[in-house]
Amino acid sequence: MKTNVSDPQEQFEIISQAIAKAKENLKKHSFPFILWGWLVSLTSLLTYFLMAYSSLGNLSYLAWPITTLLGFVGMLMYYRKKEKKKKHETHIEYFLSKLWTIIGCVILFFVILMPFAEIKINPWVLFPVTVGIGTAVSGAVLKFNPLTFGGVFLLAFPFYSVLVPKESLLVLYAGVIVISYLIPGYLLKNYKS
Amino acid sequence: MNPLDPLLTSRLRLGTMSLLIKLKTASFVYLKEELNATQGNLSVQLYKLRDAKYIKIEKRFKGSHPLTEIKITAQGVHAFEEHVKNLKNYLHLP
Repeated sequence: MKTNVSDPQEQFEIISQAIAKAKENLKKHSFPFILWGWLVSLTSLLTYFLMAYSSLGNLSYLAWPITTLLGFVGMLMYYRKKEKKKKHETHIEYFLSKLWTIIGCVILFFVILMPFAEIKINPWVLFPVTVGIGTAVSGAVLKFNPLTFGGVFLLAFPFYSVLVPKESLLVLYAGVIVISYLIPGYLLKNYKS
Repeated sequence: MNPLDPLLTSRLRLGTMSLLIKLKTASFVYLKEELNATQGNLSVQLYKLRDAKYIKIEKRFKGSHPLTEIKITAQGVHAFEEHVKNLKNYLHLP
């Protein structure tokens, strides 16, 4: 193989081939959406059933910090394992890792400190809006419309949730997470470029 | 018509720059695999690009393994973009 290429057409082909090789692999972004999709939707349903059919009352909400911590541990283990094998990083991967680290810190901060805070922030506004923005931005930079739509649907939760009775919010939230996280997550996982 | 950048007329150097333009960082191993290059040849070409300040080469340890990471610089991005612009001119592309 000759080492120098003087033909501009051939140079263009080399550039196109190399750029195609470095193309973003959408599949590898599916894991967090699938993990959190299952965790959050199942925790919503669990809390609903505990509230409705047990004597735990508001203690049922303790399921949330427990599953959130489990989710964080799961993410940490997954990305530690991936980091060991990582040979390159795209600009999108770098941006998304910073975005979700900040969102994760905000969520963890509120989950831990909310019970002690004097000013109460409605969790039905804080969590869907925070993660909804992250999901919509992720979908936009990955150019993956189901995720962008899921993010917008999630961050609009505080608006349409007023249409259902308060005791059904948890069931509605589980359904919204299936649409916003689980479906786009599995579509990403099975995406064929 | 502007002359083509002689640094970017080498197959391996052009391939390296084309990969790096899409990436934040790439390991030496990744470039070697994707470009189907030998270790010695790739090293030589990378040092040429580094000397021209088109790329940055950083060496560190990842756990107990040495890792060589390569990043494109702002100067490298500019040179690559100019090169593509000149190629388009040669090929009369818009």
